[in-house]
Amino acid sequence: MLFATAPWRRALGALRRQPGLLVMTMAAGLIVGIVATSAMLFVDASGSGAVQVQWDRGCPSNFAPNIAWRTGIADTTPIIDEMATSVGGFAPLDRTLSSQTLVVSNGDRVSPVGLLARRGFRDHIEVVAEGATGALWLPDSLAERIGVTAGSTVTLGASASSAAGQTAVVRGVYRDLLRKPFDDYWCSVAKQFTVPALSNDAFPPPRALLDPAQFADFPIAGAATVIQFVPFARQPLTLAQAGASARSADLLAERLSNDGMAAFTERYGADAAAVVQPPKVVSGIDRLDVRARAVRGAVADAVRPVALLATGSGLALASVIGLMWLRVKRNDATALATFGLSPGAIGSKAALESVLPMLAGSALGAVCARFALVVYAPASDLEPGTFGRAVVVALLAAVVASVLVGVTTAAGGRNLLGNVAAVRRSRLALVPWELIAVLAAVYSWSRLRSGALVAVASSTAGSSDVAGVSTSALTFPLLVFVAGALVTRRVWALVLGRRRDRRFVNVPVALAGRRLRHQVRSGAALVACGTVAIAISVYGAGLVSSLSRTSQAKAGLFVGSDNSFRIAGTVPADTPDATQVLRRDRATYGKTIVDIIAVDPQTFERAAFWDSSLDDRSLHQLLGDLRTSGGVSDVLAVGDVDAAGLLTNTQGRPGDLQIRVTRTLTSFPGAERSRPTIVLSTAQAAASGFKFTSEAWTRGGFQYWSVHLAEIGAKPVFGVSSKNAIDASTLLFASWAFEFVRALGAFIGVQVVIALLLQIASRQRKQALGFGFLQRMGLRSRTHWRALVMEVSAYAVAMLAAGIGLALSAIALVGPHLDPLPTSPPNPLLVLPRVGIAAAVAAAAATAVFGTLGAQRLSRRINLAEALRDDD
Amino acid sequence: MTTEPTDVAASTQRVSVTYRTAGEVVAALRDVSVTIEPAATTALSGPSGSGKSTLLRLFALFERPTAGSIRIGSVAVEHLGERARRGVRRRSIAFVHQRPLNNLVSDLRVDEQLHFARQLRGLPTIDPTTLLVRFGLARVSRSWPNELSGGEQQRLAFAMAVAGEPHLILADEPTAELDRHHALEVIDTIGRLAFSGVSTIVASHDAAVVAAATHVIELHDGQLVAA
Repeated sequence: MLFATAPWRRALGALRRQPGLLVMTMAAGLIVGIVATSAMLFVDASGSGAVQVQWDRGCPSNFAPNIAWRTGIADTTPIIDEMATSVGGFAPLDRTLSSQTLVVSNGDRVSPVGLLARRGFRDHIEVVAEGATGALWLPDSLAERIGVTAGSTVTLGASASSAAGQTAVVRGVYRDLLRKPFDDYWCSVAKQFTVPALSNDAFPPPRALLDPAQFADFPIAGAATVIQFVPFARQPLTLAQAGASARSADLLAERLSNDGMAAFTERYGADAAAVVQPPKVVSGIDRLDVRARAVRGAVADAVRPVALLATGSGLALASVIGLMWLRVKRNDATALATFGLSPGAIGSKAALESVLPMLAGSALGAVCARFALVVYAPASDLEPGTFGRAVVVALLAAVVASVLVGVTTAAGGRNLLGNVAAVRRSRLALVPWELIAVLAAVYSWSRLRSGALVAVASSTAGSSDVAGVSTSALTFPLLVFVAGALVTRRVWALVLGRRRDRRFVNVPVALAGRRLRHQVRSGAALVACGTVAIAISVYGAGLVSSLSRTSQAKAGLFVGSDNSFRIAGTVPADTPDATQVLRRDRATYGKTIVDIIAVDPQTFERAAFWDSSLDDRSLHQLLGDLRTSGGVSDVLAVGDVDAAGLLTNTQGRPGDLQIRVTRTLTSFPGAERSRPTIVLSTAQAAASGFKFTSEAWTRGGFQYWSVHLAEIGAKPVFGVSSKNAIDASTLLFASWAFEFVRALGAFIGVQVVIALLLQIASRQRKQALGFGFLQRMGLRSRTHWRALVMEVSAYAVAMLAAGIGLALSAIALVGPHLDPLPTSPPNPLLVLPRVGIAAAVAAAAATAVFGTLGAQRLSRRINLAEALRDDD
Repeated sequence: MTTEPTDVAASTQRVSVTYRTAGEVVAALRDVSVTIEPAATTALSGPSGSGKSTLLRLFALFERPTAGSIRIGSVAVEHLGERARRGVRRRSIAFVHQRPLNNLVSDLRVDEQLHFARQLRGLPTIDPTTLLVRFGLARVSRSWPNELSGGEQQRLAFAMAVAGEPHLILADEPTAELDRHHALEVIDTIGRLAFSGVSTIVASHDAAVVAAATHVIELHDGQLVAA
């Protein structure tokens, strides 16, 4: 019988006459669509992000099949290319020939040099000078050192003492590649130009570049080292593509292993093949693939509970549409109830009427969530079919939301025809149900353990483990937020529900207060929902910032600065952004084995990493403490050591120093957690008689300093940069879960705005009527608007105060346990999410002002006589 | 459950209704026993707060009495569950609210409202023209409810009530929100209902409505004064 009204057929038409209800239903659908699909899209994008981040942080050649096949002078390029073509998905073989270290001389100016031949190098160098003839291209630093330019003739020798040599004409001069980071072309042969971080290898010689066809013209170079790999035709952007690339690499390795020697024999004969070993193929794409899958799994585990809660919150918001429907269409509902229709049937009508706009809004929400990935997700590439599934999920969520709209309408419409005075408040309302959420939060807190919130990635070589965030790091604060929001709701209801003297203070305040008290239950529910939303938003922003700051601090403290080089020379004191640090790994202090770091107080601040949260005093003040008086050196200590005593060398070796610890720190640049560290000045270190190793700590690019330190005579042996010291991707993956929470917080922030607008819109008619009457009694429009602003601001202030308070409490409780690398100092650093808080306040303020302005404008347009006739 | 009319359309036996408000108990009806004749127009009259609307709402099954019994036709309804009460209301009772738009479904046109009223009661579809002409609504048969005047809206409400072929039509102050001209139209409509064999109970202050009724029940302070 309900269907006689054909609500599904008339849904848009019916709501078209109620534009406010139509817009708000679509907006609610939009939020439902976003929150219901954002997690699945984000998890999928995380897989793509893990693929792309690993690819970008590495070098394409690391993931491509690298082929080690020692065949002497026989060129295996055609064989490899043929097999790669048969497998598919590969570009032509990339082959580099590299010589041993030679000597290049121009008269009496001599320098080590190595030859490097590679196809297409001209497209990847910056030409400084070019001549018409010749084969060799020299880096400008080398050309300057031996005084040559394009067209000059140089002599290549096997060694400086060797009389034998070969002359060659310099074809051109190129800008030294070490001056800027290697691009995707040069990174595959980076070891031919510099040492990788944390390596003990000696720096390689400068490289003279030439075309591969001319390499044979330099017999003095001897046998070449061949570096060859088969690049993938396309960079894999998603997990599916990475998986396909991994399968292609495996297939190529299998083909080369099984058929490579047969092809070689066919081409070069059995005699040549008899002395050649089968090719070995190594590719990093397998690990990239496995690791990316692990990242996706870890992110999925962490974000699912949050996404479920957010979806529940979105559906709860959508269900409020039912109450709005009941207010806007109260006449219809009364008529239907009078005819004998049940509340369920009336709810069904509301559900059917709202389903189309809800579906449209939700589908739009899925589209928004898809495009929002560009802003907040690690990548925006999705697996095929993922977006389609997201749209289906969004539509299903919209259907559920519509059902909830029906349920809310039915529940709200149970007493449409009854006498209000006869309705008594249920005693169940007096039960403090929120205690259940509080107890759940307390129980969740009791399960949290120090350091257990981030699963640390295994450092084992070849391991595919990744750092993941424990579900507790997200569920505990959510329970806190829910409990806090419910308590806030109760407090709101108690405060506004109290009867009070109706003393008239001023018109806007009195009007706003009356309206707030008139709708205390729905207002309390609105405040509770908004509190959760704001808390999630601020919490996500706070933890992402904290995790980022902690990661930077850990890397900075581990290395000491942006870069640290072990040096055999000295760093001139006037070198900008650099300082020289002396280190000694083991010394005895009392009964404790300690490390020693000696710093130059004059230059240390220029380069050393420091974060103001590491100590109450500034680095400058701490360095000022490093003085010697009366034969006792005042020093700093990291870790638990005696206040004063004799610092001696181990195993009776020479060196001792009477020291007094002026301040004990929890962390200091270069100090590790494994042992306490004593921090001296370089002058104190010189007086101690200990032997130290020297390091140069520098700020800026690693490659630049590799070259520059050599130029200023510091003689770098090897170096490490903070960027690579700690596997940044480990921390990055852990932070993704919080990025999702932050983004979700923003989505839910929109939800709060919509909720506030919903509140304004749902009361629009009554408020307009009220305004109409009050205007006739002499109330000015501006005064009425002020009352509206106060009313909406009261909700906003309550939400903001409770939400921000809960978020900061949760950050303070969870943050200290959220240590992605517990073995590395410092302890987690917490960041106040100022931007997140400011955004929440700004959004609430904008909603209060502009939403009420809109409502006020609509109120002025109302025809009071018509409204009175239509309204009940 | 059938409510086929017997020799009475509806009746109450010593019904009382009390409301609990903050701090006090209000007796809206006290020991009221009345009988509603079939095929007659009965007016409930009395000053404001006398209990007219409460008695009307008891007959409409919107509320339950605190004490006493109620019959609609031959069925005692005071102990029926909500579902059964809705069933009785749907099949046997039509209620016309004081505010015209409370009686209409906003997303149905005038003629569709009549179809809807019949479909709800499980009656076969009829050509609504006769009814529309009878209630002076033929000219606006394809209009939306909010396009009608107050009088037309209230006449449409009575047309819907009649279309559903109920045994009992209840109207609460049907002329209170209408001007004199429209009120007279509605009174004329009510007067003609009795001729179609329907029992009508009208709660009203309007002397013209009371005058048009065949029976009058007068209430004062929740008690029956005259019947």
